[in-house]
Amino acid sequence: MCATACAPEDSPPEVVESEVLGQQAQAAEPLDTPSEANAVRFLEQATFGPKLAAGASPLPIDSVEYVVAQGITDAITAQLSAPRSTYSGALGTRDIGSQFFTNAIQGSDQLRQRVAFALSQIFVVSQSGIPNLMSTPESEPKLAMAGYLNRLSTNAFGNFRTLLEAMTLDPAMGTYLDMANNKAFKTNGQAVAPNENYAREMLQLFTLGLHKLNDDGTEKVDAQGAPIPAYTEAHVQAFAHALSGWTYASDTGCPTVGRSNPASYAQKMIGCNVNHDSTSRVLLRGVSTTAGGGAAAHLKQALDNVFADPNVPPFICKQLIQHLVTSNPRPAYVRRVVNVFKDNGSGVRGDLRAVVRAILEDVDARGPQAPATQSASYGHLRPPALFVTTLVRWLNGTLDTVGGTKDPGAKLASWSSAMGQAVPRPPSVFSYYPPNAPAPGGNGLLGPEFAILDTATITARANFVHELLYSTTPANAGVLVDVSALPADSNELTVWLGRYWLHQTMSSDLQLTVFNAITDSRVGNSTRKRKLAVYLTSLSPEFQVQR
Amino acid sequence: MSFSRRQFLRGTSSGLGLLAASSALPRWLVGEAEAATLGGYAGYRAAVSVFLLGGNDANNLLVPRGATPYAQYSAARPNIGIPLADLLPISPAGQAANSYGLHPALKKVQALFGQQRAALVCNVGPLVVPMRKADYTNGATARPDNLYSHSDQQDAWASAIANPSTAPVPFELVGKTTGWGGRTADKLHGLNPGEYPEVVSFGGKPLFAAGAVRQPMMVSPSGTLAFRQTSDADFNALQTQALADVMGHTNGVTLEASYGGIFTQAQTFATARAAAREAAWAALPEATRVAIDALFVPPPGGTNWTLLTQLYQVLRDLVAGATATALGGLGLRRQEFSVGLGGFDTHVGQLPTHNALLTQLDFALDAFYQAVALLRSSGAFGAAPPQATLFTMSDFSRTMVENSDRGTDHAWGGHAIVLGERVQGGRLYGTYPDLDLASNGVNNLDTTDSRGRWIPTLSVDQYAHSLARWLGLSTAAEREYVFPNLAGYITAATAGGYPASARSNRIAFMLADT
Repeated sequence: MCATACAPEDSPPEVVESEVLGQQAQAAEPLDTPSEANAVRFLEQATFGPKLAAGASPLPIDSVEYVVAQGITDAITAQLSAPRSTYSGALGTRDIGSQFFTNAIQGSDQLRQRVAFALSQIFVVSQSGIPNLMSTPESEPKLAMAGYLNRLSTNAFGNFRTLLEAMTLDPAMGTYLDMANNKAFKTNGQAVAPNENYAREMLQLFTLGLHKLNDDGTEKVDAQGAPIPAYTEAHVQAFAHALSGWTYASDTGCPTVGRSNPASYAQKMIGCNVNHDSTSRVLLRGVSTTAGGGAAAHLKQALDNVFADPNVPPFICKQLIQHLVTSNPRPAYVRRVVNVFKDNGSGVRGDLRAVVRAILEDVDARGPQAPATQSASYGHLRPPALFVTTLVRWLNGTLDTVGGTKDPGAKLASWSSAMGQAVPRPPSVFSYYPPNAPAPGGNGLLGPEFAILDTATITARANFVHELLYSTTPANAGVLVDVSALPADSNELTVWLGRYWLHQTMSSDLQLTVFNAITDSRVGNSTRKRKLAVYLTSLSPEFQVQR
Repeated sequence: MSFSRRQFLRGTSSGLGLLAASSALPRWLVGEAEAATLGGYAGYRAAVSVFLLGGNDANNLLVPRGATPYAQYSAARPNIGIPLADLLPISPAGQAANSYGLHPALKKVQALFGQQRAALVCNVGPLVVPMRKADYTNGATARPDNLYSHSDQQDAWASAIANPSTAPVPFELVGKTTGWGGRTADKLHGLNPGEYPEVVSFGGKPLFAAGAVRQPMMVSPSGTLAFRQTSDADFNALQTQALADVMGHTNGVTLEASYGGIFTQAQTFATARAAAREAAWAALPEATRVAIDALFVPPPGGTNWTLLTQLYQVLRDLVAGATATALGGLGLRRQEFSVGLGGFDTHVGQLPTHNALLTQLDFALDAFYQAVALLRSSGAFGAAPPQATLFTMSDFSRTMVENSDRGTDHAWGGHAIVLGERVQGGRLYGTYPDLDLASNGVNNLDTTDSRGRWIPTLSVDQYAHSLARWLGLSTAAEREYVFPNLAGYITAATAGGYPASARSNRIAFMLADT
């Protein structure tokens, strides 16, 4: 009895056979000699949009030509060691949203940014939830978000356990989900119920999810066919107690009992035993914290306990696959990645570097097109931020930041925001869209990004492309795109868009519609012809759903 | 009086070619004939969902003023309790004078309560079947899925299906994720001419508006929905047509079809909506327009009030919907609207945040109510002016016992506001919970635990069905389609010896139709 969100893929031993067949069919293209179409697909999954080298030498590591020449394995290796793009919360710097889009267009660490962006939609902090203190000259929301995003990208290829602790003690997170100044005692020393907010969201959204999962990401069910809760209300309260006593770093150290330190975002939070409940609490799987333990010891026990839970690998891996590759991964794909999360080959659990590589090198992600056996269900709707950056990057876009008079990043951010994704200001701890949102009319297939696609935001998608192409406001804001490099001949133009933008999968229907439109006498000139072809192709269903 | 659907369509569907079933729309966006009736009212009716996102603390919305319960309230909330003198007294019908108080920010709601146009529905929340504390504790009775989780409980309110993982749903809903507003639209569709979406959403919870067949029009909170064009009309025509053609190329790929369907809906109805809004507004007397606009001017400090903006846009859409096609309107008979206000997740420093939110809510609800009253008195709609009911929903209420941050945490049952000229107001519906949390609440049958999380005594399904019924839902089959848990709920309430309020599929807060 599946009322919601049960993908056909969610039921499965039977499909194993076809998965094996799929594997064989795809094995034809080795990782070190990808076709151009395979390289384009890889860059759609691993970057903020493929781009052409356009004569640059040496070839940029995020260009189609580089991936074709070096192969997938080496292209990932190059990405893993690319210099990290960073954020600044200092006075006078651009808004964090502007910095995000500037990094996404210009940074060479495309994969790190892309993974950090995915992680930011799991370990959610919203700039909207960080108050600005009028008593200080700084912008606390900027400082906090810059620190949080830097911490995310630093840990994007590290260990999940390290990331979990970094996020738990991040002061922006501390403010957003009330981990900071969560005290177990009143000022008179009387015990008081600690705030449950961080404990609950950490379990529900950052590590376990609501229901017990199999290693292939499918839900376990009880004898009645109902899903099994991954944790109980008592667990939430136990974690709230175990994680009590932390506060913002301060020159004066810990406050006295029942008191708080003022918000401060320069350093990670500090544990204060005076406000920590040192009693033993029963965590997941019956494991207890040590009676008499301090804030730091209990935090370590609590996070070790969560990290060891069998739900963590499938819960995290499936979401990363959804963000990078496809909304409805086959259970076997999830299982292969989960196996790497559990053990990277050297006995290490939670190695995100190995997990990301496993996701991108998997047979279900590679090849010149979506696996034939999954044709109807494959892919994911491009989220607004990626739709914006992908178009700008394909159109050889540059951002004019010289002299600091223009703020092109803000322009990109405003487009994304109009489409329902205001980076880095998700509306709630559930981020921009939930991983289990259904695709409308999709008969149970998941389509997370569809949760923010409606008549209003889809109109904004069309209006973004229209403004980018036909208006002077983007150039005035410093967003410079160039359609003149596209072929002028109608036939060649259509073929070019199919070759690159749709990695050789452009349907004959779309080719015909585009060709007929751009050869219509009302088009007028070759510039408008190119713009019309881009407008129609970029808004087509087959481009919007990245496959 | 009542029309059959066929008579109604014959009488009014001419001249609506633009809005007739578009062959371009995918099948999952085009509705089929249903049996809902205009029996209650031959004019126009709208229900407006006001979703308080984050979990509104209903314990500070409605507070008992009696000595014993107020002392219990104060004990649980030493820092965030509202002083007795600050509560706005109300005298619910059948109860002692001034026996309850509203939050001090709700001055206009207090006035409407006194005029019997506003009501409060007590301790309502998601339930599969009625529950007593023992049932909750022993786990043998079906609980709502994932209590205390924002997303799940928002979905439970928006869908009126508290247990989506196990609910036996009608076959038409299998594999679909729908809300009760959308499913109501599936059944009301036949009352409106053409294919114009029954639900228009400016905010709130999108799930509320999604039907199995009928899909909503989602509009930005600013109210606009329009495609950019160049200055060359001929080129625009070419581009618009080619884009419409492109949306049909979905290659047998499910997600592409999902995208193409939504795009086509936007292209199909955006223009019609914009034109009807302009024409219908212009058809109102100027004095009415001026007076309505004045109602929505925010007071000092309210310039960023998003709920006020959304409700103004709802009002403009309502005028377009209720205005006859001969005057350029859409000529609809039933509409649902969705708006939302975020920020209610008050874990920390609740008092100022909650006060600001409720101040905005109070002003916006009243402005909308007064605006509909102006439409009624304008004479522009003759003897059957538009009727509208505003109602609140929220993830959950919050713990009665405050936390160490002068805030409150996630709980369950809470109190909702219903407001409009057809509301049987000046009353409390349902049962206010027992606030006695002495001995960690072990002897209090209304709370799940020591912190005062109320087990609801009215279900979301009963609440929602009362509104859907007012809109025109009529047969038992329709009720079971829109509220698949309701029949089982009533059966269990009867078998379990629950009070009459739990055994009725409606709450009596809407005035009977004559």
